[in-house]
Amino acid sequence: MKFMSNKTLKMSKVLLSAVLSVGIIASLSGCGSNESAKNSATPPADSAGSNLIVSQTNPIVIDKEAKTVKVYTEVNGKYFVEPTRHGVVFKDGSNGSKSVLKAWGNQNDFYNGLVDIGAKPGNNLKLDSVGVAVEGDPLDVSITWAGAGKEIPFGDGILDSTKKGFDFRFGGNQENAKAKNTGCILCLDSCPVGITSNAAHPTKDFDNKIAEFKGNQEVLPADGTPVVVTFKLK
Amino acid sequence: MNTKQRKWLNVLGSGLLGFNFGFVAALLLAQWTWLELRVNTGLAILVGVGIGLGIGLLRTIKRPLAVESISLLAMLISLLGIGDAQISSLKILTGYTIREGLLMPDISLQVANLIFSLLTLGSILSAIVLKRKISG
Repeated sequence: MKFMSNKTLKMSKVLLSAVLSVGIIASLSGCGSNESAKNSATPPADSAGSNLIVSQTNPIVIDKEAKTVKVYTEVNGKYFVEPTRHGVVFKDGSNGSKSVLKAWGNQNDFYNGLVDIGAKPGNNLKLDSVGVAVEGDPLDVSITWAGAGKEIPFGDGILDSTKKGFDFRFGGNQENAKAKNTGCILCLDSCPVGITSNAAHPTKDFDNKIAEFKGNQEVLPADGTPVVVTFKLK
Repeated sequence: MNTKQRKWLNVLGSGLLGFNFGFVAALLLAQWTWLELRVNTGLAILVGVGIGLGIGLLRTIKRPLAVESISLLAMLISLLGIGDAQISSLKILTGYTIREGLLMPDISLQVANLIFSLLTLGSILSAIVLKRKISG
């Protein structure tokens, strides 16, 4: 009995030492990584001719002439390693922490912005629709951030397990968006609640495990970095 | 250390052990995508801490080092398994689990990882002190 206790004690000490060492190394390396990049990152100014700047306090900028709606977001690093069907979601919506990009503007203002630039919603999806592609005006969606130096297609920032590509549409769904208050601005498969979603994947593709989406760590900046998402009417 | 201090150290140690096991539960629950996209699976950490504190109030931890080792091993195995043993994935996994579990969504992953390291270190230290008190 005594032998067993000593053996357990020795094993415990070895394990503790190993785990402690790994923990200290991991936390030390973690403290240094990407911190400077995050702190220096500020969203770029609206380059579409207006003087408005997209920021946390001015999270949605509408440019009727350029037919664009810009949304201030921040990267959620969680979805570099976990799958999600949410691309851009308002932070205070019920899905606020479930998306690759966390938006500061809400889905209802965003909807109104798309209507203001002349986009027509599809409104063809019901909550129980299965295998139906979202309709509505097609949108060019791009992302940029301080240091990116250019607009990058939104699809490049997302890993789609099927590699089908992206076809973003103004789905509409204003009533569902208000009633459910999920905060969904852009869904990665066709969605009856999201204001915009991806027609390349019909409804329930993610739920039925046909497609899986993650943030592309090789394209997107580090967790917490401000990113401006531009929705342009095609 | 008097009896009262020892009792509260036992409660603290047990609470930190609950944190370790709750963290493992949160990591594993987050792998169930359906659940993860509907609820905050990180709350398993707070549940674990609550259960740990409750147990600590009612019972004395008899083998603190052994239980601590089991909890750390469970953390290590689940982290390495889920994160494919990649340091970058490990940092994200621990960071987001902590910031969601402790209901601090706006802190950076780096700060969350620091909190995780401190709490884990605290649980190790409390287990060592408890063991010494039992032996002594």
